Amino acid sequence: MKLTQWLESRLARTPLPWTVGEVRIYPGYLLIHREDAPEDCRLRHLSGWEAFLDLVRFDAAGRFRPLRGAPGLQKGWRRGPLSIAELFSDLRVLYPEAVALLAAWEGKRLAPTPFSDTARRQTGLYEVTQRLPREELPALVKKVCVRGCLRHPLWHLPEPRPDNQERLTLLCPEACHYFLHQARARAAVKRAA
Amino acid sequence: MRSSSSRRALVLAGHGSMFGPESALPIYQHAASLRKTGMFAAVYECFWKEEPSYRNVLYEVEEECVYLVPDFLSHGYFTREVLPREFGLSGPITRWRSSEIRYCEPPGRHPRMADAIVEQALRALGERNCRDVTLLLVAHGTDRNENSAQTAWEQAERIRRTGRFVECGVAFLEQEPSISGWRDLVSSRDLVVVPFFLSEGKHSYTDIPRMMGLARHPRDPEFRNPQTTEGGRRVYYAGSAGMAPTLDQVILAQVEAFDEAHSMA
Repeated sequence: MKLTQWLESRLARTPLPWTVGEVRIYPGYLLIHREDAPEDCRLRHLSGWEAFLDLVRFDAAGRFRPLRGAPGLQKGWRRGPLSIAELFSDLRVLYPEAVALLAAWEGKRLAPTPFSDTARRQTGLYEVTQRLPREELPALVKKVCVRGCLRHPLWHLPEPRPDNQERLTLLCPEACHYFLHQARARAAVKRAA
Repeated sequence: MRSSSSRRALVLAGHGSMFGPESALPIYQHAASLRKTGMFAAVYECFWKEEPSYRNVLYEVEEECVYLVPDFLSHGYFTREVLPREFGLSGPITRWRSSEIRYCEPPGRHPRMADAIVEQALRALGERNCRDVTLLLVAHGTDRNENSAQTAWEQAERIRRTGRFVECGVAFLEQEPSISGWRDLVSSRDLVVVPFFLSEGKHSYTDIPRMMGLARHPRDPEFRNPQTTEGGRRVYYAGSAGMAPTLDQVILAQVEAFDEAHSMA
């Protein structure tokens, strides 16, 4: 099954409201920030990929958002009505790989990668992440992934695994580069100490 | 056999940045431009330091034949070590589930990249005749991979052979010959500097002008070409090579080169 078809069928069996991260999807399909009201006529209609990409890559203060899963998506816009293909494409921009990873997870085709494996692969600047003490990991996950990101860190085993088919959960199967960057900084401090 | 466009995907793998938006911008632009050609059923972009990530992008790919092009200029540490490792490549052709990944060389290595570099240089020179001007290509360079600098040397040699410029040299930010010694590297009065980077950013806007001792950097509102420096040397400062409008065509040329090299045409 193609991913667009999978998304369409997944939405059809998911109770409203359809929320993905900080956005809400309305049947039709209309896409807005979850804290905005669809009937609000002040919402700016966004057309074109460049304007939409800019919306996703910068916060309301114009600061760059390297981590799309981090809270802080701008409000006050709308996209739609969209075809299912357009909705899929917009979700790819908002939360890259989110639909594909959820489909793979529910189809039992997604194997999370433990942090030790991710760190072991690193070379160059990030090789030092191999030296991050194991006991430091939960605190870093809490700071970066739980408080700082809307994605569910499947790769961190102590976290509960999502099995609720009624939600459209954002999944993270492996520590991202932003996490590695933070882990590198902490490992370097530990090493110096 | 060459696959039909409905079964072919293009994955552009860029570097990206956690600190600024500019690094990823050309990759998005190349992807948008290549989508319009209709030559691929889908074009995906992915990054080392941003999302979508190298590690997860393949979950989105549904086509049988996947051309993976590193959207880099240098063929070094990232294209020879990081990308193959992160994508789990086993060689030029790798099976991934029901797809075949065809790992192409970066656009920076293709012979047509020399034209893109010259294009950027001529834009900076404007009406200025380039016959007595030296083109100086400035690349990053690194001790981590001895091949990193090689790409810049290869392109400089191609440009030198055309005879369009009085000379064509190479300098680096982090290895010898260093750009800080440009006065000893260039003998002509006038030179045009082309940063050998895919995107504009700290290296092209700040590091190279600072190491050259230029009074103005390209983001300075007072920046103009040329800048006259001590001793009357005149420096024309060009946009980064990767920002040349024809770079999407160089990417396509690398896809075609892959097919030719592996008898898929």
